[in-house]
Amino acid sequence: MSDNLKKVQEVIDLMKENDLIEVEIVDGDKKILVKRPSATAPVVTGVPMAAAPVAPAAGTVPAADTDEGLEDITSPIVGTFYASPSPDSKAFVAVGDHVDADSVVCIIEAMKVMNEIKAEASGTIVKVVCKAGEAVEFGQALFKITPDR
Amino acid sequence: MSFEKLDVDIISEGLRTKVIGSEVVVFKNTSSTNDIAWEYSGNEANNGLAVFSEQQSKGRGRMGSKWLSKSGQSLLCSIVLTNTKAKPQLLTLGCAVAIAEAIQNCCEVEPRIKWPNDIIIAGKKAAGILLESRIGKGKSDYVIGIGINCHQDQAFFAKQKLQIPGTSIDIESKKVVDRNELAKELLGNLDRWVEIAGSDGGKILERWKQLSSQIGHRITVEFNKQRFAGNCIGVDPVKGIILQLEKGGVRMFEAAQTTIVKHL
Repeated sequence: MSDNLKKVQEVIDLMKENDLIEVEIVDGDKKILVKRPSATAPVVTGVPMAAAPVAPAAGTVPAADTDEGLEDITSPIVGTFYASPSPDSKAFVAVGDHVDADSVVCIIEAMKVMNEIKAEASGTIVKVVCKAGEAVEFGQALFKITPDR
Repeated sequence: MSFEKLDVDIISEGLRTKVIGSEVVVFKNTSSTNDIAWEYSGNEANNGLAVFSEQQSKGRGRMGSKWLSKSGQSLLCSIVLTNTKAKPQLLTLGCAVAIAEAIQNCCEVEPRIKWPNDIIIAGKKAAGILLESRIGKGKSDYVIGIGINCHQDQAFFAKQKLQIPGTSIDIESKKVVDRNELAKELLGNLDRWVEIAGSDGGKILERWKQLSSQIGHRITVEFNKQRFAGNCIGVDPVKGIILQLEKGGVRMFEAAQTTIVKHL
């Protein structure tokens, strides 16, 4: 591991341990500024340039569901969301489709492992929350369904 | 020119593995060895079964990209894993290490790993992994799909439009590799590293870092549908990759959500 990576990783670990949002370290002409907008997605800017654009944080867990009677199918892992097995093929599910616990609804890719995700619930798809290629977090809503009664 | 045929008896003879290669099957032609392996995975007794094929009509890679091969020129293999304690990210890295070591032991070339799990020789892609999982309640099944370019010549790759230039073991070693010997070496290494993936993650990370090829190279990554180009100044197989961005700044990209799309 390079010295730069070690330094940045140490800073990130320090921030996580102490729940810090922002840390700036000045060492001679080098400056490291680390901002942490969420607990899971550290954003590093400016070595040594100032005012580098701050990149947006990875997707955040949405606020509590206000759609009455609907349930979420959530992501069991951190990764990248894909609605279909390949860019040219049909989505696993679409709005109006009925799913049961064993229906495959999407793929979440994490470190090149393509994980087929099952609905784990029965109902009708009302909304596809994520877009193909979108970064998703653990527990993030992927689909909204009207559960079977 | 005709090459050696894959032979179950030669591959299995003297193979001393605990799980991987518990049974070996060879097909002359399949749609994709991963599809066949998924059919076998319904039965838990098939844990460790290795499916080889001389040819694939629908060989696939990540997200529908095609894995190209002509009959008899590649080592195409898929492994059924129905019972492993290994975490998926360590499994990915362990497989990359196992393939790199198998090629190194068998072929007198120096393979390296392109983050997180492509195998390159002299900067060109020689082997790839497609690891698929089906996550159910309290249980995950995996199929490890592996394609190693063996006997292809320069003309084969010159015709293809590839994201990363391709090469074969024969091109790089200037010899003709024996695919049965490579298959045996591959199963032995996979058995060892998949077991380590379930017990000693630190050992995998250490070996992976020794074989990694990224640091100091200019690369482009895709994260959350956006592309970022920069010089790689740090890499950690599980945490992520750190780039000195061309547009200024240093940024760490989370491993789980990032793909390298260009590597120079």
